Amino acid sequence: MAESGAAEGGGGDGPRRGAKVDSPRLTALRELQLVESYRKGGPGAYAAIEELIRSYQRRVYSICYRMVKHEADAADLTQDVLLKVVENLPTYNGQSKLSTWVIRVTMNHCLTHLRKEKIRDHKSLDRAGMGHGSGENAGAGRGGSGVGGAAGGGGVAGGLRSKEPLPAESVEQAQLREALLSALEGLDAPSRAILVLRDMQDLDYEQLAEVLEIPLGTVKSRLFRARAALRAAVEGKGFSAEG
Amino acid sequence: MMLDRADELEIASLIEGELDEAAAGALRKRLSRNPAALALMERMQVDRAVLRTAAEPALPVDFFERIEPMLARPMLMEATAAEARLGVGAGNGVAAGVAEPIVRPGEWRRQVRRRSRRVVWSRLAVAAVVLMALMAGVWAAVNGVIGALQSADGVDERMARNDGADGSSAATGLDVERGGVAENGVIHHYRPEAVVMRDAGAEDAGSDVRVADADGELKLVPAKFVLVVQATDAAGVEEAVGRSVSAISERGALVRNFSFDEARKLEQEWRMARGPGISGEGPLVSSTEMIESTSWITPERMKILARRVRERLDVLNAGRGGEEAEKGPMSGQISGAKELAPTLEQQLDFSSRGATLTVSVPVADVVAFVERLNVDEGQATVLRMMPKRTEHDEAGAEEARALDLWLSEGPEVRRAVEKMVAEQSGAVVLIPVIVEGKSTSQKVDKSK
Repeated sequence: MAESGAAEGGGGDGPRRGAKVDSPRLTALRELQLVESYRKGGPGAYAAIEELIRSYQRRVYSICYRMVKHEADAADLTQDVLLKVVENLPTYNGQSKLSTWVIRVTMNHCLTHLRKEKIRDHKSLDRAGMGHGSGENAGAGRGGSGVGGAAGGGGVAGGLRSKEPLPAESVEQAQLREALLSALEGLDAPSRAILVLRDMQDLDYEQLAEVLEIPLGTVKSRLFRARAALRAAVEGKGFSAEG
Repeated sequence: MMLDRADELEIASLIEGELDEAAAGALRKRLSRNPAALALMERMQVDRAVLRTAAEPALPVDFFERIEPMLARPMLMEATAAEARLGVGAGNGVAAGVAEPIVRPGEWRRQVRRRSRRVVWSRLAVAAVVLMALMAGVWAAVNGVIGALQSADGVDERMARNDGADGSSAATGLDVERGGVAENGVIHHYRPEAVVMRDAGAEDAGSDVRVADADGELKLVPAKFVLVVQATDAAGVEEAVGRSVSAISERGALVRNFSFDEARKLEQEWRMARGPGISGEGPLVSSTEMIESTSWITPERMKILARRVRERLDVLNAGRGGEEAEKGPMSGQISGAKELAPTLEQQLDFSSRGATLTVSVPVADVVAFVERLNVDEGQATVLRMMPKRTEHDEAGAEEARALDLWLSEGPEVRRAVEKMVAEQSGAVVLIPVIVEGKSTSQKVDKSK
């Protein structure tokens, strides 16, 4: 998923109005232009924000979904993150890529949410009685929060879009993928985070270190341990395909 | 299956696609003695490849439409500075029940500028009534004193000789008398010591210096941090930095630092011209030590080096006759007032650490300057603490080094900037700029 591979917005510096719901990723330069356009205020600011939000909403939702494993919660978190991004855009100092900054805000929200859920589940005898256990498991009892009735979805919901065409994918590969995604849900939050960001968002080591606020020198070893934990979880679920 | 940390890291490198065929083959061969580890590695490799094909979840809703009512739409579309301060009202198209704006475009920048202006103007207000009546006389008196000092020390002549063989500053566009902006930038340039009134007891080449100008005292403060600019087009960096400096403040300047290597070369020539047994010249290291490292540098030795450089340049330029002044890695005032330029000692201090440029900006505008460089000019910049000279000596500093250091030094830099803004609010800060060339292709493809 190339960071700068998306088509640029229309010609000129002005943002496009009425962009379609889901815009492709913007180049870093285009993003800077939009940020500046927004900061200047005036008629161009609104269109700039629209273009930025539409280019990021899918990515933010994808991260939230993979982290919290619950469609309604992911939607709420996405909304919160996007609002936070708009609110804090005037203070974005350009020292890191905008994408890294946005992903950092996203991940912080997700980890905070997971921590709160863990505390809540720990305190709630009812939830323990329902067998939900750790807050990191999908909360089937939670109602949707304004997301079109998508209640109790949890886990890997339907309506997934293919990332890329897989015409020749074997059954075993598809099964392995499902096993990996299921095992990913059971990992601890930091391990899940680093794998989601690396394998699904294509962040490099420097970005990982910045987003996760860990030393750069430890990124590789943490990745290794997360992968080992994922592999152990897959095998623990009885999936022993050699790949 | 026992794996030590080195093995883990090497396996991780293979999984992340960082090893070439040969290295990967060697690792597999080594792990063949540990079948369990080899199998784990291969499965983890497959896991990664498969995970990367996982489908992205479809958006359940258009989030922009969801959050749009919460954004300050009327503000974004129609706000002027006055309207932003007064807030929106019914006449501005605000739908009933819309929450108070949570964002005010441009507000951050307005606040920064308001704050900096408030600090400056509050101090000037006290002195304004008294100084106004004397300003014209002070300006004339200061210029007369500076001119007399320059003539007395021969500095004016030295600078004119440096600029052109015939001693005319007009040939190179620098008007020494007026202290105006150099027109070509490619000239020898340094502020003569004669016009610098050093703080008592200040010995460090990087210490505060106070320069009198017509408007009162101007305090120049060397920064404890540097700006690292990564660019594929290093030549364009000067232009981009100069534009940002000019855009941010009238009290800004950009100087190309005198090359430290050039200074060392000139000092060698100075020694050779003097012959053996340089007596009474103070402690300076041997030629070999001077050329091979920078660890010998102390403030005192830097002053000696600078003085020898000046003397050697005098000799060279006196002897050039009709020849054009030597071009090359010379220092030069690229933009801004000469009074804002660092001294030769400071330029050499900066260039010995790899900083080819120095930016002078008012302390309160530092953040805005860096932001402008990022946003308007599209440069990748980091602020980091002043690097040790030995770091720069190490050949082949990797591209990742600047980011690596920023990650660990970022909080320290922020503290340094905040401290400076709080304590030296009226001063002009000298920020060394290190330009790092950035290859267009990744040296190591870390993402695959």
